Amino acid sequence: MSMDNHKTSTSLRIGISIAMIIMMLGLAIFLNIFTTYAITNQMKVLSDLNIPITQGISHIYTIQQMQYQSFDDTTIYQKIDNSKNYEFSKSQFESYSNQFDYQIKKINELTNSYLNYGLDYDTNKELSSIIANLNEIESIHSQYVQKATQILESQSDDNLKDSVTMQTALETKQNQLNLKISMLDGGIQNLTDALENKADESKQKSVTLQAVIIISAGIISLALGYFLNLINKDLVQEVIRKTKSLQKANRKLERINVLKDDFINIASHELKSPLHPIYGFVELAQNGDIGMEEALAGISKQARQLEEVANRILDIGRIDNGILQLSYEKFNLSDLLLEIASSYRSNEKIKIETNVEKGIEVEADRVRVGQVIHNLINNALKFTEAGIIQVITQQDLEKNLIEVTISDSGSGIHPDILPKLFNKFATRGPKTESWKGNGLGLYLCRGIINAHGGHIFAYNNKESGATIKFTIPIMRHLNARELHQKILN
Amino acid sequence: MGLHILAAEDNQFAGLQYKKIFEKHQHSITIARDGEECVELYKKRLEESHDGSEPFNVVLLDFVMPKKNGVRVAKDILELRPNQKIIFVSAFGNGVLDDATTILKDSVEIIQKPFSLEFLVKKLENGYALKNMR
Repeated sequence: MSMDNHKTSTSLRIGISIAMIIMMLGLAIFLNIFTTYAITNQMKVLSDLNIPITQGISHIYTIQQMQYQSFDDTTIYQKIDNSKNYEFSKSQFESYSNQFDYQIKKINELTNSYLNYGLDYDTNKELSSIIANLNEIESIHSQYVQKATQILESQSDDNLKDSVTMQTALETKQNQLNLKISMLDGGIQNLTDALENKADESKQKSVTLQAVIIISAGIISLALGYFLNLINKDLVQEVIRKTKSLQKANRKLERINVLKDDFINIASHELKSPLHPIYGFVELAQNGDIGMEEALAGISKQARQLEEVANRILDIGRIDNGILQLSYEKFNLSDLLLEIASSYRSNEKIKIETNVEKGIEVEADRVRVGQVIHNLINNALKFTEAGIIQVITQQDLEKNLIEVTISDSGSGIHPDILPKLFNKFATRGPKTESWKGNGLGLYLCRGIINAHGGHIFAYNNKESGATIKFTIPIMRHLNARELHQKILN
Repeated sequence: MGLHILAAEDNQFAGLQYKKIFEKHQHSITIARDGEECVELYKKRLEESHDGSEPFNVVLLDFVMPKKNGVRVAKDILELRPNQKIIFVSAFGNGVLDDATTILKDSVEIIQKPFSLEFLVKKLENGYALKNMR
């Protein structure tokens, strides 16, 4: 589950990183296109505006120079009274005036047409000052023409003093006009420079911005690479972890498989063992070597043992699968213990002692509990060559528990086996030398006691031998009143 | 002259059956109830036979026996007399026994349970006759 979340967030993060890189590169390309357009636009303005205006200005200048010339000619022809040439020069002078006005108007229109072209503030300001300059030039020129006309008309009056003053004023106007025209030229030059600077600036800005974006994309790519590396490391760790857990599971399965093989071997051994004498009895009886009755008695006893073995194997299967069924009944545990203990005959070597409280009524599976007691006494006998086997009971009514202790003075339990004594095949399989019994008895005992809700445990005695204790509840479902009465009694 | 047989058998009925069938065929058989008793009986007989002759012609063992298992008993006996003929009778499948027999000598044989008593007698008689012919 956590792995799934991890995966999702990982792919999401990779996706976002890649999307950001693509977006940034896209932005860089867009910016490049935009800048190119802007620069192209500025250059277009520059070429469209600059050349005709510059040409216009030089026209104005030429026209102006020629007008001076024609004015001079007119005044000379006036002095020498060449009326034919005077008229011609005068009309030429007037035509230059018209041409001048026309050129001014043309430049004005040209400039005006760019005013609302969507240019930046500085360019517009420059254009406005050019227009103002043009207007001034126009007005100075018209003053000049007016003055020149006055001079030509007053020449006939021979008023010399006036004539000199007027001539001086005309020259002033002429100089003013020249100045203004050269200023206009300068303005145009400024505009050109400004536009060129703007284009350069745009280019530089765009280059810088693109560089920033590309570097950012690069940094994000590096981060993504680092991040992928981290994820990869995580994945490697994950694989190592999973492999380890799989190896662990595999080892567990191998162990279980060995246990299963052992179980099959032991089950087959246990089943075949009583079968062998049954065949023997049949064979001997058939050949007349023994009597029929002896054979049948033997067969019947072995058949019972076989049944017992079969039941035990079935019980192991039930315990393994957690389906051991108990049939509860109320019975006298004291009587059961005494009955089982007395079924084992004490001899000179081994003595079975009982220290059992009288009248212990319990609610449990009588047959199963009997099986456990049999098993434990059998075990004690198996490991005790000579000595005492004790069966002791102790009731704890408050806790609703009865404790049964079976201790012997035998060889004790090997410390290697003790911690896993109640496991399946704790006493080892047939391949080991210390093998005693089938290794299922105590496993079965624990299964039965645990199914009752009790506990079973073992320890080695200080002096000699071992002790096995088990507890089971006295009453299955204890009711408070019953308990109270039990305690009172 | 019959064979002298030592059989270790914890199933008291099986032991009685061995006794019946071998005595029927004029062989003498000694039954041990567990591994330790088996080794003790072997030692005792070995000490009694001062002339160095075989204490028993054949020893029958089970792998699974109280107190001392079959393999250990076989080792003890082979230490005393390395050429002692030993036959294991066992209810285990072959797979289990293969491992156990590799540590034992060639003079050791295995018979799987169950088998007929007459078969066992024949096997022992034939094996012994073969050995004497060589």
